[in-house]
Amino acid sequence: MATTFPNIAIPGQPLAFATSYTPGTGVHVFNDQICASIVGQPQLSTPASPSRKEKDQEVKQVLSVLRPASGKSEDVALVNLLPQVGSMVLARVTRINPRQATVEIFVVGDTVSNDEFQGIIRQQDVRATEKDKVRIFSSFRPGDIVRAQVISLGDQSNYYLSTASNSLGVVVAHSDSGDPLHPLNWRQMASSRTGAIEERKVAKPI
Amino acid sequence: MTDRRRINGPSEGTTPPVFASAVVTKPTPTRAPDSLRKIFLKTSLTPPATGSAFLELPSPAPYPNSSTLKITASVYGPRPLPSSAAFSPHARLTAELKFAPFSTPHKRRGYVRDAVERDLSVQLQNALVKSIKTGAYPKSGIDVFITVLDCEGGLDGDDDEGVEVGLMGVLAGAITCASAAVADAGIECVDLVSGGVAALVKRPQNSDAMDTDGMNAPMLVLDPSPADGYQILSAAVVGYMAGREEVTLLWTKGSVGILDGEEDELDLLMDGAIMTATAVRLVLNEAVKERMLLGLARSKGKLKEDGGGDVAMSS
Amino acid sequence: MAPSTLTTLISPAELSYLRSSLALVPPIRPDARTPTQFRPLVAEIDILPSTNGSARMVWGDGGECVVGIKAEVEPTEPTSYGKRRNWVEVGVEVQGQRDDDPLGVFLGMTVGESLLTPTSTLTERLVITPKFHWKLYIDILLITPPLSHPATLLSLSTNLALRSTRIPRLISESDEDPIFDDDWDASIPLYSITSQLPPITLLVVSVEERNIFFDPTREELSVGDCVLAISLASSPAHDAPKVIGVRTLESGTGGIAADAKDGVVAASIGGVKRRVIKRIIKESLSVGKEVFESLQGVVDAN
Repeated sequence: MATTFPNIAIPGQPLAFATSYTPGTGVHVFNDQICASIVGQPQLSTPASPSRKEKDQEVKQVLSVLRPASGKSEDVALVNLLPQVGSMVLARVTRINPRQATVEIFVVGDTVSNDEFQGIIRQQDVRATEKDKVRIFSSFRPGDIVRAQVISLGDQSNYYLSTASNSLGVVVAHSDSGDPLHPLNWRQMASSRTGAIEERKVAKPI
Repeated sequence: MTDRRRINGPSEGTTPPVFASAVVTKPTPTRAPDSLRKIFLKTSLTPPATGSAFLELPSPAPYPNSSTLKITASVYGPRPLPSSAAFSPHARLTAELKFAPFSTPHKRRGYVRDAVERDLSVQLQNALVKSIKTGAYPKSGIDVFITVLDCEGGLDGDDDEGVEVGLMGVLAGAITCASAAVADAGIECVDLVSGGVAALVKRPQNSDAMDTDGMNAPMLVLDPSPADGYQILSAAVVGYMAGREEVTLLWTKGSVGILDGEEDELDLLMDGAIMTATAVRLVLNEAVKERMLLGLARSKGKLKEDGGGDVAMSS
Repeated sequence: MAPSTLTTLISPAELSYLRSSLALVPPIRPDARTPTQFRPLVAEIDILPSTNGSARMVWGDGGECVVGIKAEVEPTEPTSYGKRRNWVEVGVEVQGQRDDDPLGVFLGMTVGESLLTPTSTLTERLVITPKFHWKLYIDILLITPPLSHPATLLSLSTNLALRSTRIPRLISESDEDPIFDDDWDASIPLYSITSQLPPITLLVVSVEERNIFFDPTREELSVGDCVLAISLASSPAHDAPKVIGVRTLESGTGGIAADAKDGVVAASIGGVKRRVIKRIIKESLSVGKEVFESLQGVVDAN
């Protein structure tokens, strides 16, 4: 098979033999050939870190088909990204109760979604340590924006999220009186205007 | 008792005149039986939709302003299912096909969905669902909306003796248009489905070719149009994935004889429809690449004006 | 299309078990039937006294279908826009679902289409005088929808009902308004021995290239590669039936994880090769012949 790929591949177009490359995103394997799954440009990349068992073999390059961002003429959001297990999301807290906080996911990865997905942060997923002592009321309030990670696709109505990491938690919040809050430490935020302290599970600022 | 005060009409009553229906001359087909009509297919025409496409087929009738087949497709998704929907590890594909009220020439269609539209929607869904990698989008829905703006010559064949092929042409066009829209939306598919129609028609009387079988051997016509004027004995529409060489939809109407010998009418029909679908696939390929090529060219600065070469209004 | 209320999620283990046993050569069906064997069924005709024709069938898995046929006199429109295909109206009601449910519509269209092919002479027999014709209302009631797709059950019941349909005998002259004989015994059957028999629709599932199954159960439908509804018409000479229509139905995808690498996921995507379809249709001819013979047996018994 020629190693030169077409400029633009279309779904169903065979690109290479499955033995020559590792399939990446936007491709599938059919009849021992890697075929494109979307309309896009085929690209090769080297895998980030070879796993232990591959160290003995030659590291195969990863063949993916990517959809260029400039493919669409206007600023319409592209392919709707769905939250996968492990993806980082930004979500807005809508409801809280002693056992869980209900959120609406509006950013998946780096893309703002067209539609919002509903998710849940359970009490045991808020922190990594002392999980039973978590009080949701001291961790989140309705209206907060939190950065979280998807841990499960969940059931028909909710994704399951977790903020159990230093970099995860509340990133933007407002006090009861409406002032923006800035982070003090992992569990406190202060109002910029009055200096009043409120409790949140705060994400470590980047 | 005659009434003398007024001028009366005839006493027995009158009946309104019934005009003889205009003699409709059957059009004679102008295309060769195996020639296909040129397809116009463009994607990304509906900005709010994730993916969209528009397809137009010329009508063989040589009059100006003759009706053609015009179909538009919009794809939304994958978007989250409503909470009331059951959990699904696959994307749920729904296809909805509607005829615009002005799409048929004789009578205005109402907005209420009727059996024909529902039936075509189900067939379209069956044709598309096998090509989309629904397993990659759990808990989501992909919605395909097809609107037929003009269905050439209406849906009811004038001929009660023939199979009506207009609906099949609409379905084939809808399949192609929907596939283009799905590819435009960036939804992962294993291959693109194209639609093709073929028909077995009664050989016209003035045909020079007289088979040894006799005059009644049916003739295979690819991409038949209701305006062609053939008398159709049987017809088939396929949804075909040309890359994988697999059929996702087969719909036949009319009686087909199955013979054990070489000449098998069903084989003829299916192969004819697949040939049509394969040719349509070439158009589909070019259409889905076109948008992306345009975007790439613009990002490389080859096109100087914004708006991709469109003529801008001067003040 | 499997009715939305009846699709159930089947686990990956069950799907894998079903698929591998159906893909064997020779295949093993879950209920140990042969690939062309139908489940036992009960059929009776002429059960509704107020109809022109009726039939009832109880299917192997408990599905029950009642079909009633009524004929009404209608004036014939003089213009060519009075389409003869409007002379037969098929209504399907599936218990527990809405009137406009897609399944009901699909089934109705399948049955209606197969009745009105150009070669069926049905519409000619519905003509009374040049100005009047019979309009046939075929009402199909699925009392307990079967667990599997109801297409075969529906079409066999309709076939029997049509064969039991009788039309009153005309005693007026051709120019007058039609007047019929009140004696029901003098009525004429709609399908006499010499005319072409009404069609049937068979549901067929294929798994891998080699295996073709008739009368599939719900589980078999969900692991099949291709599900076709094939409409067959037989001629009075009882030789091989002719195919008068083919439709594709949706085969289930079941509940499987997207990353599963076993054959079940791979098979649920993609279509079928054309040679498989041709093989399916050819096999359905011989099975169709047997079905016509057994239906004839039901009619003869009554």
